Amino acid sequence: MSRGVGLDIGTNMLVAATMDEEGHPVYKKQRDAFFRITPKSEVNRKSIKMSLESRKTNFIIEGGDFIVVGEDALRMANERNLEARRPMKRGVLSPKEKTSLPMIKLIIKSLIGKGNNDKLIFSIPAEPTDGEFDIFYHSEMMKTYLKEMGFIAESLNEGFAIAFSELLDDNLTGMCISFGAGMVNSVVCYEGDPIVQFSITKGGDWIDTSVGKALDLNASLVQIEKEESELDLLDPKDKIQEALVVYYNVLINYALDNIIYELDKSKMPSFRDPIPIVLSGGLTLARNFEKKFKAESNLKKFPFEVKEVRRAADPITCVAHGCLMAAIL
Amino acid sequence: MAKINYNKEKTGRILGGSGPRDIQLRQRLLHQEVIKRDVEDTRPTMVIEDMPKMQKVDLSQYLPLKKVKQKIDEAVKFTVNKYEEILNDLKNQLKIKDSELDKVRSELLMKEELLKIKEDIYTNLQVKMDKIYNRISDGSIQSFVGKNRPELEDGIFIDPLEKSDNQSLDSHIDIREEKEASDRDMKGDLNKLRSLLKK
Repeated sequence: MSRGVGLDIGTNMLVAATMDEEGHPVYKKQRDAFFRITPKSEVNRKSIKMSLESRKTNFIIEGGDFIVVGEDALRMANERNLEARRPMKRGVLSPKEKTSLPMIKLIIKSLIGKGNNDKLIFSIPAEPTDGEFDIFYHSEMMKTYLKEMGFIAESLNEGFAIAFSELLDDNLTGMCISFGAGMVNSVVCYEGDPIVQFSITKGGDWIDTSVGKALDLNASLVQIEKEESELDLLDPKDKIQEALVVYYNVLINYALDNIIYELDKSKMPSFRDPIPIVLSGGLTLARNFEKKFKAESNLKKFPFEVKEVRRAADPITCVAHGCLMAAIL
Repeated sequence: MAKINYNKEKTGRILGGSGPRDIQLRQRLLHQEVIKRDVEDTRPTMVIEDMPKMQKVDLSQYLPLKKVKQKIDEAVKFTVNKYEEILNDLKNQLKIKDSELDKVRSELLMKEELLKIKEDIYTNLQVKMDKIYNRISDGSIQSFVGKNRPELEDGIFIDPLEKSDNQSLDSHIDIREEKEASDRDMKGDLNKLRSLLKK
């Protein structure tokens, strides 16, 4: 029997979703970051390998080099005050990151295993409104690699995948906004149809870089501070958190202004009832993100009445979950 | 004002008229006499000069009273006629303006009717456009323009990796599974999704 697989290919995180025999979702995650370590000698090589294995670090050996993968890549880069390598930028793979592609393939393989003509749905971002990048290249490359791994792969808009996961009790009608590392993806659904979908090419990475520039810090360090310091958007504790809150505000406002601009431009159906806004993505994990978003959105005028602003059940896995639903359907 | 007691005993002696009040009274009388004399001195100078004698008026040069009355009547009649003419002119102008106003009113009514017809047409068109838009959205209407026209197949992807690129890599990646804590019922969710998408 063929199984369905959902795969969220995010700028910061790869998440795979499958369904177990009892009908519960099962997720596997890996951060898509790399860090290369070149040993100085054979003895050094052996000790590095032992150290990596004892720490249960995920790594790839390429020639004589060790390429640390995922969360550990970010930590090791920080320990050395260096930047970890990020093969994806603004939600898509770049042909310029050719050397990272084999590693991406290995990580995906470790997440989804080998397929047997199984249906796999992977997420892609919507066309950006404030920049240009090649979604076609990204989508085709992923299809090719996933086919090599034994899957029949199709792409699905990230925002629409969130709708499949989070708007089942709302008649598939509402707005889904994903605040990811590479970009902000938005979709408005009306009774199961994605009416308007677009993306904005700013996200968590932009916040990390901007705070890093402002405080003369490494962007990787800012990223770890952002994710692990229990950042509260209404109560920053130190200088880095204060700077993070400032750039969170700027990003939320920029996203809202662009969303309203695009919605005003689009031909929107007249909604009979107020519709919900669902927030997802890694940035929404910050404490009081919803409150901040709600407060800012109250100052803007949406072309529809907002029923509520709520966070997805799990902002990190909801895209993969939606893709899985689409794959099994 | 405090009263000053005159404590001197009365002796019955008659006052000789030489007190200060008596002197004051005598001086006043003297002064009155001077004034009286001065007035009398001026009397001979107040002589009225001869008044000019009234000339006799010749009434022959004036119109008789009847004629004057007739002339006044004529002037009144002339003035009344003149103002009646002006009033008639104003009434005529007012009539012209009224008819112009009626014309404008009828034009306005006509335009209001036209506007209503246009609004009805616009509403009908809006409804039709919404229907067409919905049918385009659900795919029941597709473009027939240039259906058979040759198109450039520019959606070509060439894998930048060589087949040998993966072979030198030795993976030591082991990613553990995470079961969702909420025990989400996927089968139930899938049934909901199927019914919503009418699959």
